[in-house]
Amino acid sequence: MRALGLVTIIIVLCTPLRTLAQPSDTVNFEHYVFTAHPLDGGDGVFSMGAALTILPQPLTEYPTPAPMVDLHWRLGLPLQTSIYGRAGSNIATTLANMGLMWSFSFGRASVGVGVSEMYMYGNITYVDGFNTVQHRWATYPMVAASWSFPAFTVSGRFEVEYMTSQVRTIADQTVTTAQDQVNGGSLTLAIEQPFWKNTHVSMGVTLNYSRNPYQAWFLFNTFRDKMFYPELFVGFML
Amino acid sequence: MKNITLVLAALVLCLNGCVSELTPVVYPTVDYETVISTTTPLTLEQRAQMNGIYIMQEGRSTFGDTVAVRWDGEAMSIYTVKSVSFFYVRGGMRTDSARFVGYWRAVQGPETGEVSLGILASEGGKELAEGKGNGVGLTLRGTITSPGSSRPNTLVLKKIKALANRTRGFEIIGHRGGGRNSDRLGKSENSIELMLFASQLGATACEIDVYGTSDGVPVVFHDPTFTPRTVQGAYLLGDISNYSLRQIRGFVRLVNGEQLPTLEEALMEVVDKSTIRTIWLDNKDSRVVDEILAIHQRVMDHAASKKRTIRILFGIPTTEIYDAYMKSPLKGTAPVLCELDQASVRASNAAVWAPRFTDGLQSDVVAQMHKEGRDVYCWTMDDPGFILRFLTEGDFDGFCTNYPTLLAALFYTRKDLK
Repeated sequence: MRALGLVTIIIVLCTPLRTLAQPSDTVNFEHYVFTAHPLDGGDGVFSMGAALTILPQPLTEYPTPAPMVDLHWRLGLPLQTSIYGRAGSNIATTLANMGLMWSFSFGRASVGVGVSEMYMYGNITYVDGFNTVQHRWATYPMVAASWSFPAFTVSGRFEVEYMTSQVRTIADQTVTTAQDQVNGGSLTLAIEQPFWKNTHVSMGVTLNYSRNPYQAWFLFNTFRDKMFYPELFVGFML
Repeated sequence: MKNITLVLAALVLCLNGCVSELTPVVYPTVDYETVISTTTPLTLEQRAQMNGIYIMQEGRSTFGDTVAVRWDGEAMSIYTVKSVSFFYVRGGMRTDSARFVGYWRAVQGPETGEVSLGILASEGGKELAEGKGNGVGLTLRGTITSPGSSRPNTLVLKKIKALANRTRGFEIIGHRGGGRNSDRLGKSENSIELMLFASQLGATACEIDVYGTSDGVPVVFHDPTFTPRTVQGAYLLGDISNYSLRQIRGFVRLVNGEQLPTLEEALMEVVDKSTIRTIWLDNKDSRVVDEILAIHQRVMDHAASKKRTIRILFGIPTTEIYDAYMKSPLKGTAPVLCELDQASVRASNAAVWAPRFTDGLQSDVVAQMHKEGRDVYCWTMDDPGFILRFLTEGDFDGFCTNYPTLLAALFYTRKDLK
């Protein structure tokens, strides 16, 4: 069932390429956030969109969607380096991530390595009975690769999530609930292409394999099993 | 744009099918009979002698430094904080030594394996056989198998002291009868089988959920509807209150194949076949409040006839149940557990107040409740950090938990309980 779902997602992801792609003879590397292709120093890319996942049922007991406003950005620096980041929020969870990547290209292929740090703030004191606030810090080493076609770019990014600190507060009690542990990893597959006039679109899926999904921090997960759950995203580069 | 909408809709539909399930647990098959038939059962005194806090001399990388060992009926359990594991072993004495076999399970993951333990005559077996001493120094020695390990690992535990306790007493309350279906205990949540096994998991009490059928029979079930999470196959759809007991009996089996129990069946079985001392009825259907109270009366009469001490608490989790209880002609016939505010606790003359743990320690209110002669149970405590904090800094009389094993390990091995 899972394999079938994944194949379906990949097939459906490819569908808009035929309908939306604007034929082009030149490869445009500069408008994309997920590609590993180095940006020129000072060049920046910003994407605004949304992400959606269905939380693992063992945690939630019922299929529970977790949407999030999702912003990505990337800024080129000298020596083929760039800083990249993400910010997202769905009110209950707000996160900010920033990291440094070094990358290089050979022909249409690009490869990069990087590391980023994420801070997450969770607050559901306004939900009756939950009364919980969380702060989480995590480090994400990553490798990325991409291939640029004339009309679009396909990118993959593999990240490992290393949780350095997770502190929860309920009412008058604060407890460190997890620290210094590998929480899991993710593989992000993204397709980026022109969409409309000067607007470009990035869309894809992040295949998460995680013990403690950040989208479900308030569920006090206790399972040691790592669970698989995909997260879809779409963003528009203005 | 229409294409994108269709694409996104298809993707969302696919998402749910992609989310993973937990790894199934394959419990080992243990040959209890061979050991039981060649040993003599321990007496109650010998079992009490064995109960205690043990240090792990070998095996601490998996199970930590100290563990709790506790007999319940014919089986001995071991509870560990590290790995959150329970051991279920059976066996007995062979002259001046002892032999036990069983299995262990890490309840927050899929790990399980076989256990073989013994007590040598020179390591406390002789004293145990003679019923001398308090068991301190007694050594359990043996092996366990583990997933991914080709040969058994050595396990050595030595008793250092008696189990910790609390002056006012303390209830380790197994949520949904002892654990959730997602905990993969091999017995379904809210099944009679799980309630009877709960004490081996470390529970001294059970919280169970009560709904009513269309013909007004209180049954033990957590959700208002039948879903694949709780039952095998989706033969009945929609609300449980739409179906009669006969229809449910004909078409519903819990996820591990058990029959969905009526409240009366479940309570009678717990009275007759378990050592559980408190049952918390989490009532979710105001239509059957009178029936539940009548069942309580019958079960307590049955318990009295068997000289069985048990407390069955009529739970009031919502204002609907509160209103129905206050209007019931059987009001006052059962001890009440109230989850609502203090005014409702007093108005219903509840024996127990049960706040959420996310409301904090509430030490002043807890002290006031104790002063009024009421117990205070907190729910639902699963995080070891919060459990420890609430055990050491709070003054609660019990916690409801999905992991009675974890709570038992933390409670029995703590040094600084009030």
